[in-house]
Parts: sequence; C-alpha cells; structure tokens
Amino acid sequence: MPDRTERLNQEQPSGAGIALLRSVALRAETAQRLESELQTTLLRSIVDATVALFEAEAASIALYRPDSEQLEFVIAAGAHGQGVVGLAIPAAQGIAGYAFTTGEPIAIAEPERDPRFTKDFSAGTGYVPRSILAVPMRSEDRITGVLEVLDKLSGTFTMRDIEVASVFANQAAIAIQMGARALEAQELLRMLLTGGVPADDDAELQDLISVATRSQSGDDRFWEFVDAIVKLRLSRPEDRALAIEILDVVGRHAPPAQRRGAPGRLRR
Amino acid sequence: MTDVGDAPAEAAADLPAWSECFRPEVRASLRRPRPFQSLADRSWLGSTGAGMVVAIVDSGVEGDHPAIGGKLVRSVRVELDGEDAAIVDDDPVDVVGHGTACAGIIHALVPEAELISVRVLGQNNTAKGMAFAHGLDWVIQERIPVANLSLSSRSDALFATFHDLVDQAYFANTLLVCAASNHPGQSSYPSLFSSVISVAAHDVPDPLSWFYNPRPPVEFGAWGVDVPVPWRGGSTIIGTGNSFATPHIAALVTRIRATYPTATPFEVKALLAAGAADPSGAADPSAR
Repeated sequence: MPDRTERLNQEQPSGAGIALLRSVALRAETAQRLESELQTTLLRSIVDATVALFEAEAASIALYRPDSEQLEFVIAAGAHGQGVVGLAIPAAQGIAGYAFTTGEPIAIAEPERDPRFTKDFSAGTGYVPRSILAVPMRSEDRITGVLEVLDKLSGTFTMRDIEVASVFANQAAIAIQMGARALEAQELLRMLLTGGVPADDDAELQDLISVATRSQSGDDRFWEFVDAIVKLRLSRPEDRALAIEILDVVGRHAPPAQRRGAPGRLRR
Repeated sequence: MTDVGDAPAEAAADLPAWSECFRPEVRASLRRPRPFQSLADRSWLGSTGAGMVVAIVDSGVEGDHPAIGGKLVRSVRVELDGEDAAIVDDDPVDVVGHGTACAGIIHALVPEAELISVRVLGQNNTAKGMAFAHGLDWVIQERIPVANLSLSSRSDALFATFHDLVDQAYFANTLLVCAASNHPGQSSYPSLFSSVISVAAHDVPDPLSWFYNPRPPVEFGAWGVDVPVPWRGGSTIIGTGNSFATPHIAALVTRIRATYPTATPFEVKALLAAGAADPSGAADPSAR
C-alpha cells in the first residue's frame, strides 16, 4: 500500500478538484485496508453465529472466483468445518453450485446413510454431512458466493431456517461487496490520478470503466462521477481548468444532496 | 384487524413469508365465497396423466433413475453463443439432482405422463437468465402442455422478455407452473406474472393436499417441507423449499389437462382453485 501513496505523491496535478480526488483516493485506500480486516472479522462472526444459531456441525462461506469459474471456500466454523477452507468446486455443480447459479436457497438431507448422496460433498474434506443448507450470498443484484450450513443437530432444515440463513448470507455478501468497492474505487482513482492508464488510449480506459461498472451496477451515481472524472482527464488542459473551477464553485455552494426517489418497481 | 386471534406468529410452524398464508393458524382466511366453492370438481384427480407431456426446465433429469420410471422421452439443453442460442439434444443427465427431484415428484403423481428435460442450469454462469428464457421459448414453440419451472430469474433486464414469453405461453395453451422465489420482495420472473401458476410450500405431508391463496402473487400452496425426492446418482434425499412444492401442482395441472384437454390456462387455474383443500380445516372451528 505505501508504494501507491508514493506514486500518488510523485504526480501532483494542480487544481482544487484534483486535490479533492487525491484525498478521496487516499481515504479509499485507508478504508480498504480497514475493510479487509473488518471483512474477515465480520465473515468469521457470521459463520460462528450461524453454527451457534442452528446448532449445526459446521458453516462455511464459498466465494465465486470469476477467473476459474469456481466457488472457493474461504472461511468456516464448527467442529467439522475447517477441512473445507481452501477447497474450490465448479460453480455450477452440486448443492452450493445450485444455490449460486439459481440464486435460490436449497435444503436437503439424506434419509438414510447412502454413499451416493455424499460423494458430492465429502470429497477432500474428510467429513460426510447428513443434511445441507446452501443459500446464495446476494448484494444488490449480484450473487457473490454461497453460505453453507451442515448438519443441524435438531433434525432437518426448515423453511424458516432457509429464511434466517438467507439474512446471514446477505450480510456476508454486503461485507464482501464493501471491501470490493473500496478496493475498486481506490484502484480506479489511483490509475486516473497517476496516469496508470494512458490518457490517449480512450478504448482501454473505456474498457476499464465498463468492466468496473458491470461489477458495480447498483450504484449509478458513483459511476456517473467516475465517468465525469474520466472525461475530465481526457479533455484539453483549458477545459480541465474550467471544469475544476466549476466543480469547486458547485462544491462550495451546492445544497446538500437530496435523496433520490424510490426506484421504479421494474426497470425496462 | 378483525382476526386478532390469528396474531401469535411466534408459535407458528416453520414457514416464512410466501408460505405464511398456508400456516394452519391462519389458513381459514383463505376460504372462498360459497358460489365459487360450489364449482369444485375433483373428478379429474383420477387421471394418471396418460397422453400428456410435461417439460422439466431445470438442471437436467437423470433418465435411468428408478423414480423416473423410464418416462423421460427427450432431453435437450440450451447452448448459448453470444446473442444466439440453440437447443441441442442432451444426455439424460442431471448436474445437480434438482431436476430429477422435480421429475420424480411429477412421475409419482402422473405415472403415465411423458417427461421432457430442458436443461438450462449447470453451465455458463454469466448468461443463465438468457438460457432460461431460451429454454422456456422452446417449450412454448413445441407446444408442450405443462412446464415445471422450479427456478426463476432475478434479472430486471429480462422483465420484458419473460413477460412476452408468458403471454405467448398463455395463448399457446402451455401452462407454466412456477416456484415462487424463496426471497419474497425480490424480482422473480416469470413466477410473479399473473398468467402463470405460482407455488409456495406448505408443510402438510400429503402430495395431494393443496391450498389456494386468493391474495397473489403466490396463488397455490403444496407440500414442500421434508419431501422425499429422487436425486442425482440414483439416490433419494429429503428436500425442503418451494422448488419441491411446485412439481406437486404441475402434476395436478397435468391431471386436469389430461381430463379436459381443451381447458384454457384460466379454466385450469379455476378448477385447481375450486378443488383446493378446505382451508377452514379443524384448526379454526369458528369457520363455516
């Protein structure tokens, strides 16, 4: 992290707007550092609480890794949970894969010891569950992973269990997303400010924005802001100076941001 | 707030949101006016589904699973290539077990009906909503009379696509039986559209006990808690969720369709509603 700060310090574009952006970037970097620790703590508390609440043998969180199209188990709790950490499974298969690809929770149990039932789940963990609840981790309109609960001690998982676990899973998803957002915002601002992206390569910059925008589809205002910054960076120096001056005036005299109205029920 | 006596939700069975109206304590409120109840005709319950075809739009169906009874007559899957999609023949396999579970429930209730698997899950994570839409489109084009959709899309971008598809299905006389999302309050297409038959779970362990809920979007309740179902690899498991309630209603719709082949979707829905279990039951002796 310090090297990023140094790079920010090496290039110091002039103007109040750019200075403002620098402070935003530095703040985002600090936030990101705090977030990653908070995120781990939060995820751990979620799986711990899940085990305690359901009186389950284990709970774990698997995150989707787009590069490999796999679900990777990153954290687990419970006496039989630890063996799963580090394992990765195909994102479209099995119980966790079902919850991930459909966005629907699923609760199943084995009626009696049946070796065919277990082969999907026990591979590599050394632990063979009798019942499984898998719920998608959803934040805004994205599914980022799956929360799994294994072997509730007092019988099979109920519809109410599904609902409660879904709340926990969504908490976990929000924690993940906050971390990702801080990281992406920080990274993007760093590149914009330090010239990490060639200003004359418009296509590359647009690609970067569109990739980042896809992963942050829920927060339009942030990306409108980023878009404006990009345009600003690509503009002629005199236009930039004018824009920064306008921003400065607007920043000092604009009324407090008003809340947007509730979004329409359906976007078409 | 006239039904104060129904208030103690804490003592409720383990049923959330969409299933709430099917709890024994509040079920009496589902009761319909007498003229409507008098339409009840359950003679179609005697059908075995002979001559009918049911599509299972899901993760595939394991064709040689004993619980399918050799009734899987065709398996296809959606292959996406950019904007284009193709329906190709598929092996009779199930990459999860979920589709086999749905098919097994249906086969147990309509053993003479033929089953077609339309696999839209298990590959290509990035465009699953589109795969689902293309699979559904194929079912409608093929004029398959009943489709079990124990899945839904959350993509608001596909709202118009699914809306158009359910209209096409309605006019083509293809009945879409859809699981309500297990997350009430979120987009869930096409299960939230009015022309489909949307289903949530109740916990009465009887495959032929179903309820009608006059307060949409979820109109029907069927058994979906601790349901024994076939699963991948020739196994059997216990499943819980709206996914497992939906095939019960799909099977009932198949019985109606087999008995009254020319019945339109709204006529089928009306028969299903009129023939639903008496919600008054013994839980509320004050009800008529």
